Amino acid sequence: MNTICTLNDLIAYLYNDTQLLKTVEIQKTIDNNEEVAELYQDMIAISKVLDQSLITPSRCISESIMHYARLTAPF
Amino acid sequence: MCKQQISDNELVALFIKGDENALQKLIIRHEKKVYTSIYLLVKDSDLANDIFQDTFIKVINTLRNGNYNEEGKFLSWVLRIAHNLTIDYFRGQKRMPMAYDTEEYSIFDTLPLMDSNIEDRIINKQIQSQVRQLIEELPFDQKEVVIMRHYGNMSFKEIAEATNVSINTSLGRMRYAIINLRKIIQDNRLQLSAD
Repeated sequence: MNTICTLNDLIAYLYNDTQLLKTVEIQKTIDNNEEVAELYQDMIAISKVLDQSLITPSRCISESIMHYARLTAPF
Repeated sequence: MCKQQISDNELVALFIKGDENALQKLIIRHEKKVYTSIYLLVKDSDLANDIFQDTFIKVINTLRNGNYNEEGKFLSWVLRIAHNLTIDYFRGQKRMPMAYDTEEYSIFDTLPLMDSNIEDRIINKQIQSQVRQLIEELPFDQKEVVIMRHYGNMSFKEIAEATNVSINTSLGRMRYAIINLRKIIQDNRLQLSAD
């Protein structure tokens, strides 16, 4: 990997957690380095897979939370 | 006409004023991320449901007591509560999940290998379930960072503060998690698509 773009940098970039100058540097590296570009594409894909893996709590739990909220309402 | 979604902080303000529908909207908006975050740590749906309920009861009480800092991100705050309750649970059980924060640790041996004759096309549900399993099998500290960063939208600085480590350590844990996930996905020939 290019020395100006570490994997940590790429991860921070993926999550919009980089400063402007670093962002430009990383984007340049992605544009010019096939290996980094491929890794970055995989990271985007992993991030999408993580989004697809969400699960929903039991419906009755959400209902019981709302029940608690109504029961303890100060008004 | 473009209908703009009401923000979390606006819903919080409405709830504090007594609008319970606002709370319901907040729960519906974030329940999947909060519940999944808990479930991935405790790996038990009944327990995850209990902690999810306790989390929102604490949210309700804190909001009503006026102790919520509006400047913060609502979801990150809720996930921090969920995370603390989960840690409390493990402490109560006197068994913290093992944390292997080294490059040498391999989770690959613990995962069932896919049959090479299996069909090329794997339906989405199977992939999702497998990915969940992959995340569940990550070392606790890596999983913690994935959950906080990916589902909680917390910055690495916030994660570092919440977990009492340096920013570099939290970035490093995320790095190992992504390397692990990428390798598992490639080894298991799961189709990655960035489209």
